[in-house]
Amino acid sequence: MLEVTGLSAGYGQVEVLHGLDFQVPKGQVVALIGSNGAGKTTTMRALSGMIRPRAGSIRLNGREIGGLDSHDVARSGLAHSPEGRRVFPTLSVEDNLTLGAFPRLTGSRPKGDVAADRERAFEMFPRLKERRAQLAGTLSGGEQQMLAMGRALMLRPEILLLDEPSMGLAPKLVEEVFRIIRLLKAEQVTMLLVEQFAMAALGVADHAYVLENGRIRFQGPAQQMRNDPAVRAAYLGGTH
Amino acid sequence: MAILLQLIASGVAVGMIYAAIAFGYQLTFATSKTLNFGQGEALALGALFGLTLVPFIGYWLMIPLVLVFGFALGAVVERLGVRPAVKIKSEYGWIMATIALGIIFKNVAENIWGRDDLKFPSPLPETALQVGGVRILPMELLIVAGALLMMLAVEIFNRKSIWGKAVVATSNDIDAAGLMGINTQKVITLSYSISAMTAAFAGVLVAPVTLTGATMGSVLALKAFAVAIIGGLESGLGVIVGGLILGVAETLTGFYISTGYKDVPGLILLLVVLSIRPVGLFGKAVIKKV
Amino acid sequence: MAQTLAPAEAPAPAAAPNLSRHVGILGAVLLVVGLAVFPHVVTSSYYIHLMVVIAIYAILILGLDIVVGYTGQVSLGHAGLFGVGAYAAAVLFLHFKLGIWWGILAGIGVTSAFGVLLAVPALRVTGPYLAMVTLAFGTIVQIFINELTPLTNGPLGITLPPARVLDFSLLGLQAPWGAAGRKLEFYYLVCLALLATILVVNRVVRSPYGRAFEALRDSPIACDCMGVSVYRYKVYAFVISAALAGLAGALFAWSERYVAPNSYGFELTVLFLLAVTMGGRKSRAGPIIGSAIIVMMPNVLADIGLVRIMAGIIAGAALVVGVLAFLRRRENRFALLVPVGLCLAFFPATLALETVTDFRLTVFGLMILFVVYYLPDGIVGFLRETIPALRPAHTAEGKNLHAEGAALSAQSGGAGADPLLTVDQALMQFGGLKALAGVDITVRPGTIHGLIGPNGSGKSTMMNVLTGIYRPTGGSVTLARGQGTKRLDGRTPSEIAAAGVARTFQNVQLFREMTALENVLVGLHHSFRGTLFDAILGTPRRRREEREQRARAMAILDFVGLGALAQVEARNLPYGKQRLLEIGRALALDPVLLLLDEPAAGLTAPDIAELTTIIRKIRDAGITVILIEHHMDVVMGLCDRVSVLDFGHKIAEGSAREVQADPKVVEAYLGSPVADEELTHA
Repeated sequence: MLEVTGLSAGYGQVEVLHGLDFQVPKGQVVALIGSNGAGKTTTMRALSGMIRPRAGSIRLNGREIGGLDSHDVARSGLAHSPEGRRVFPTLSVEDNLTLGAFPRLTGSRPKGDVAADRERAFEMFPRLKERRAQLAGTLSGGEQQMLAMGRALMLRPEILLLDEPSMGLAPKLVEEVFRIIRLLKAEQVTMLLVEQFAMAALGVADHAYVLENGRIRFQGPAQQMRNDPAVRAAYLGGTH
Repeated sequence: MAILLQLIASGVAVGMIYAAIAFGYQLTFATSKTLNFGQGEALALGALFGLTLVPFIGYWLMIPLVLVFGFALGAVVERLGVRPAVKIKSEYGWIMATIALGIIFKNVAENIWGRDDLKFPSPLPETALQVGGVRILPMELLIVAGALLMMLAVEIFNRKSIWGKAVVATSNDIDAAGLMGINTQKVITLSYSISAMTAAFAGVLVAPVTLTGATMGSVLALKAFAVAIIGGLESGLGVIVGGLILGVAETLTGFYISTGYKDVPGLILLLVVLSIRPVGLFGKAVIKKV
Repeated sequence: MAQTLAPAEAPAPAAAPNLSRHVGILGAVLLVVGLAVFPHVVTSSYYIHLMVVIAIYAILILGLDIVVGYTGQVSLGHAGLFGVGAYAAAVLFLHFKLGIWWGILAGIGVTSAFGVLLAVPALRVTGPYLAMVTLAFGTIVQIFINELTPLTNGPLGITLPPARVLDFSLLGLQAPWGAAGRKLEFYYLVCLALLATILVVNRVVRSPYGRAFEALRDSPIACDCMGVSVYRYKVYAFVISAALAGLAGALFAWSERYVAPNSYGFELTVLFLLAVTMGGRKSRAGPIIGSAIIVMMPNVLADIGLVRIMAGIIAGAALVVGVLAFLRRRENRFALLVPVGLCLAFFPATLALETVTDFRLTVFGLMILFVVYYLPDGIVGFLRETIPALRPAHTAEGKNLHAEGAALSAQSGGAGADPLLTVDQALMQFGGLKALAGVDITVRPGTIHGLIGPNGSGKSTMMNVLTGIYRPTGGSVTLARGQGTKRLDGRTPSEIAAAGVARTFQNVQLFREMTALENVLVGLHHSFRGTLFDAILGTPRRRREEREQRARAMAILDFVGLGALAQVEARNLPYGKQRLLEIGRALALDPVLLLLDEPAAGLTAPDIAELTTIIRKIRDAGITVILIEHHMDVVMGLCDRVSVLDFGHKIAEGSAREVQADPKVVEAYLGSPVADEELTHA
């Protein structure tokens, strides 16, 4: 589904990613974990077009999307729920969701039934339904995370990128977020999950890659990695 | 007392023109953090273009054509003035570029329509109405109604249509808007088009009650800055309040002090507001991130 | 005692940089000679008058360059200041019959006062807001001049007689240079004023004031944190600029012998801006070239024959430059087609037109657009880029630099019993969000204290609270200094820097257009005692201070290993070196406490090794260090003590080893397995 080879990217003079290779097979959840500064969010941004890759290729269903502007990447079917949620604060919850389907409403993607998809989002996130006319800026952190995820799903994407969904959330809410992720997994949504909190991510992913200093340190089936001391060392130092 | 009411009434009309121009500044600043320093020339060109059309098709039919003209003008300003400056990452090059375009437009207008001020035929009777002891020109009513209507129309567009929502989304968070599949560059061009369109419309609204010429817009645009700053460059309601405050302050100054000093309160208000509260009366304070 | 590496000498200057100073001196000599000789070669009074106007405008534009070129702001009000100067001189004559010398004094004095007035609303705003403020100011000035008829004679204007520059009759003498010479007295006065302006601007720009101006353009936040108050220096920049505008205005009044309100409006201000951007900012030649262009342009445009000749010359020059650039460039060659094409097209266009005067302003507008896109550094900037020998002499370039003295002032270090920094229940609330929820931290002197925690734990917030960028909602921050203590919370970044707390930034905040040496010199700002007058007059105290501080700055650069790169502009340094430079700049503050915000971010392994060595040396010199870092190896290897934050709380504290093994810390970083059972938060 998503194939990344030799991806290098950075900001200004600094090269943050040094030749990453990874894949996200269709219908699976792949986790990208690592300590802060390892390059996880940079990877997401390179994938969704927020920054331009310096080298390497990104193929979505065989189509090259590396180097495209972010709106073209979205049109190709990659939805990115960004770090920090970044909902549109002066628009209502409902409008935020509607905008997630922008390419469908403006002819760049098959239209389908947008209204029905919106109602499905409200089913999945009942708390958003209660607040559908409320301005997104007044929602709590957890609610905004739900909204960001719902908004990304409105694209009917081929692949969903979730960037640090647990950031800044209290543990109860983190639990809820991951419950939703499990639900989506059950519905066969292909996901690439970037998380600082390794344990949560490993609990829900099929496969995981550990990023350190812009390189993939090691990878493997998520189940196996949960008790691997090497994962802990990647975060807190010590022998690898 | 009657005089006071009279002055306030006249001030309201003028204030709504300022609000309409300032509205345009807000629109482009919200989406792109830039604005058109040549907005006054867009207003003047709108008025002059309208003036040329009026003998052929009359005032009311001229309006939609002027709107289209303004829309196209805005796109030109964005394409030639703003986009290249932003692309070369020049910090304030767009300020000079939009000023330059304004100068060019004014000069071209002077050559086409001459340097003298012209009379714009009023579509409404020029005799004043008496409303409770206060004399109001029908045209002034049209100005207030027209300005409000236009701002309302844009607000409705922003709330109801998908492209309007895309404009708001871009103003909120340009990166996230891109992730939604919104072509934010097109949105910025659109906001400039709408902005110039509102200025051109303001031009044909105000032209019948003032002198029409290539220079009619310059001082208006500067004072509209004051209104935009007072109201906050990000808020919608603030410009109307700011415009009314300024308009009334001006007519009061013009009467009680002297017509020469009419323009001063707005400018002083601008300086005072920026000294105390740089984000404007209605603007939101920004939390620094280092 | 601090250890320094063996003092390094900057590499012997290559031939090219030396040339730059020589070019400068040559240019100055040519200018002086040219000005002196001009009226004897070109005797037409019309052209002499033109020269006078060019010189007067150049004085103003040199001052405008300080605001536009050095502090990087767009000022739309300089025509207003020009008008104030002109009217100050004219009004003095009108009411008190005072002549040109009084006029000059009044012009400078009154306009400087207006410069202070203008600076007040301009202090807290930048960019388009500042442009609007200056535009409003200029317009207000025009209106007041027009309306205050009793004072200014209103729209009628004021007429002045020919200026009496030197009054030999006072000494009972005859003028030694005869009647013909007398006519040139005014010309030579203006020339002297221009040369004096060039000298003054040169001195100011190379002084700590000039460096502060550039610093506040490149990074106002870093400026404040280095103890250089952005507000104060903005005022200085406006006042100096205004003083020069006032001088120019007074001279202009006596030159034209007539002042009227509508000559000092928006069109003139735009012309001045065009001159400074087209000529080239941050230079002395640029404003002079720019002034010549804007003065000559209307004369050229009035004569279609001249226009065609000029267009032909431009087309020819563009062709040559374009072909050369095309051959030399590798990438993006076809982007050259547009500007070259425009220049070429200009020529046949002028052949088709009979007259251009009506489109004079359009030509100016097009020139502005052209300059903004294709000549952003002006003609002088373009020449500097193509001819390396003309590159500006950065302070001390061409001179041998050597380090002297200790890089770091020894601090009364040693692991004392009393804490150096005490943070007591720090609370930072943004709306409903508690970024810091009551954190206690004590830092012992002479130690390296680490502050770690996952994303969003409050580390950066703590850093900003400690350095005054945020005012804490509650709690206190206390620094032990000498005998007593000092409360830091609620103070401005400038004050905290002065108290001895220096910092680096997560995203490098160097003064990009200044060299490494100049960056450190800004950090050393606090040790300069000289005033603005010392700078302008070039007093021995000024020269001595500059020499001493440069030597000290070199010592600091050597300390962080950047001695050989002293003359490189910060933006051209490799990333790892930029981070080290930031540390060097912070050390220049002679801090007792150094706060490092993710210094290892983005660094390669060899860079990290260099960094840790330097941090250790800093600690050995007695300076206390607080380190925010994600690279655990760096933290473990360096820190004596580590505090761990999570969700705005401190969840652990101890030695690096203790913290690394603490299960609460592990859970904070890795998270706990999200299972079905309820989670309790530690």
